[in-house]
Amino acid sequence: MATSNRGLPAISLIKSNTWTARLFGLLIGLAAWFALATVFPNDLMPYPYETIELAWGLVESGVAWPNLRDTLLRTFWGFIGSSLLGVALGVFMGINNYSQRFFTPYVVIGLSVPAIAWAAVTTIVYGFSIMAPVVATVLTTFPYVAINVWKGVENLEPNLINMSRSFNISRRRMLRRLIIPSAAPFLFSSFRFGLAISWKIVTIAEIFAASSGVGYKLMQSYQVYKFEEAWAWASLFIIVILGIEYGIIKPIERRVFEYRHDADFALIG
Amino acid sequence: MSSDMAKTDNENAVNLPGEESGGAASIHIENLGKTFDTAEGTEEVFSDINIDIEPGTFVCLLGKSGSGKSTMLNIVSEVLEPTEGRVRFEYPSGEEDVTLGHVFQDPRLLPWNTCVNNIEYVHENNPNYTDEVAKRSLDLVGLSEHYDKYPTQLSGGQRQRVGIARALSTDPGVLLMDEPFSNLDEITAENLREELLDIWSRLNKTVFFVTHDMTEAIQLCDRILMLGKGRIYADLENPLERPRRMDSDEFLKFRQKAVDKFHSIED
Amino acid sequence: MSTKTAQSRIAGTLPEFLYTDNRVIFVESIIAVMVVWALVAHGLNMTETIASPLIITESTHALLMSGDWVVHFTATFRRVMYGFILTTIIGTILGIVMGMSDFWEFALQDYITIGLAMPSLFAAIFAAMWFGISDITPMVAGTTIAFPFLTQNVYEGVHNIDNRLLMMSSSFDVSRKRVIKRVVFQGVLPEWFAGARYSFAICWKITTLAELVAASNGIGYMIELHLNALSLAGVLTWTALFTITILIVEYGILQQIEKRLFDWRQESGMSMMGAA
Repeated sequence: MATSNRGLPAISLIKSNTWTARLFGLLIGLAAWFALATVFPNDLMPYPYETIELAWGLVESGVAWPNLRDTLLRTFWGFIGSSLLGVALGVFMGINNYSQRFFTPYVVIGLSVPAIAWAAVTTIVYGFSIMAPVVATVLTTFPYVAINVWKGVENLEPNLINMSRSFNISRRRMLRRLIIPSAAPFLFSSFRFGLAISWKIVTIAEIFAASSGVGYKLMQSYQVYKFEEAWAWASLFIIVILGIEYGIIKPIERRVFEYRHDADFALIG
Repeated sequence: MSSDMAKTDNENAVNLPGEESGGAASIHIENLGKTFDTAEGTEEVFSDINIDIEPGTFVCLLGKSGSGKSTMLNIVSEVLEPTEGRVRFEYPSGEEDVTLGHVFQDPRLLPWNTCVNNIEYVHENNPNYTDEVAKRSLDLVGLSEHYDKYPTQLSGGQRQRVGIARALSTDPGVLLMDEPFSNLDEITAENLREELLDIWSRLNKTVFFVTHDMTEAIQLCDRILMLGKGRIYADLENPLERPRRMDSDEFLKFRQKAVDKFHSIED
Repeated sequence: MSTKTAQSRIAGTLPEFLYTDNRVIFVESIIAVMVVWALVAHGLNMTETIASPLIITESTHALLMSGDWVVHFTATFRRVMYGFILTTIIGTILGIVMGMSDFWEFALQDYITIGLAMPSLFAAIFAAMWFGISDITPMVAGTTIAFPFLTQNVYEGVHNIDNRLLMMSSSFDVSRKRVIKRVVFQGVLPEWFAGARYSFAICWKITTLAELVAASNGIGYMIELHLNALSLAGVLTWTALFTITILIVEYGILQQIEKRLFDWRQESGMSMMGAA
């Protein structure tokens, strides 16, 4: 009856190996891809191996790298910019009541303006320079970073700070041993979201604010009706993204959340 | 097995819970044993437990942490299956279908419901239920001003009272309480103990009360059972007359005797 | 903290309402933006290209008056609603399944990860490839990008259901149906609502993106139109209208719903789950 430690009473859970389940999920995905590819005309939905072939072709011909590099570079700068702005804003908002009320409208509006609007604006202002996608990214992304950092700052327990003061702990030590670990999960969330949103906005901005990059190439392929090529570019970029996600982000995530025994791995996706 | 209210005609929704009902039931623990299968092998928590509890008595179960007292309570509460033996309940009338009332260590209230609705929640199968039942129960525990408050608006002690009210509202034959006051501050706990005794004397319920606090046990109960090393190694009758004064000589003497007995299991 | 003393030092010299009244602070905020905007325009020597706030206010007003905006707003709104409804259905169901079943959680978790990371542009373009210029394109694009967020929120909500409440229900012999309705559903509602709200915002943005890629009307379409004409004023005007609409929906409608729905949550310090 009620002794199961998760789930509803009388609903039996299928306990299984994580990896079997994941494999199963993966297979369903591939099966679905195949099924769709069979049903739809070839250019709309190429088979997995066709896409891989094309993608490899792009890599071999040397076209892939410059575009990937440009997109990643813009993502990087956009991420840096939005992090700096977002952290500054978030910290102020967390510490100071006035700042909070002063900056909140910016965050709120920032959350509401669609990326395409910023991208359009920066395109007109900056033309084809790298500033266009980067500034658009910064403007779209900073509110998310700001909010998460703000929550992190608010999460600091004044009791612990008072306790530290009563032991005359130096600012520096407090920062390293108390403040940063306490804020770490929130900081992690902000950067992780910041990065993900950055590459989303950069690709959007590239459709008109650039003459290179994954977004640009994708749009180009679409406009000349070379849909298989679009698939190839998309796959390449997704592989890169997944590499970043599983190779960099997840391992760090595990470390950051280690000390919380109700490890919310799912929290950040 | 205890079951929903509709089956017992001890249910009388409009009167104060306990009035005009079957009242208190007896508890019969027969050859009870529980063994767990763990990764390291089987672990026997207790075995061969036999206890008979008269209707209307207030019994305390004491044990150190790890003694298995929570496990035993869970089995008596029918939340856990015993490995051997069984637990039987019986009204004086012979009826064995007894309603059990549970009070937990933490209040376990639905935070999104008012006090009244929290009580209503457990009256699913009660055709006679009206909000009056909930309100009467809340009156019983002194929360007449709080019918429509949400748990977040209540103090810890008040929430625990709602939990007690909820258990009482089902007009149980037996009240099962799992260290209900251990999470509260001493003053609140004191008050609640007194109120509990008051309610108990008025409503005449059988109470099975698990605690780790000897003073609390002596103050409240008629009979103290001590659980350790897989068996009941002490069964003391509380000689003190009610009302009990914690600073009286008899109290302190009995307490000393009980504490010695409690620690005697170590050796 | 030292900021407080600094603040009070400065504060001592100013009339109090300037830094305590919410509305005044809001106005100060807006003024700051206007000033920065004007400075940037002058600084970059682009007073023509970066249209000044005044011009934008004027053209926004003009647009509103002319009624041209109606066609496009209704088109966009319609597509957003279609996408949002689909998102809600898929996201909620998937979230509940993944929350209650370990197996499905592990099986589908990676897709959620991919879904969360997927550049929205991809969804917009591929939907456009398949469905061309139609209402389906923005709807599919929006749903694809938005549902992972809702799913994740919902299944976390399910995970977070207090097990002690389930045990309590069990000890009082509450039927499964009632438990689902009164404990599971209610328990998940806050997380679901947060997820739904976030997904709604996403649907708006992806819809306009999809319109930019493939549509013959709508807000996204208009923004592209003005972009191609290099009319910053046009872009900003439509952006302003769009933003104001979203703000009204978010803070006018959604926040009100949230208050009603969750009035049992108090800022009383100790929440039910947090205390002992």
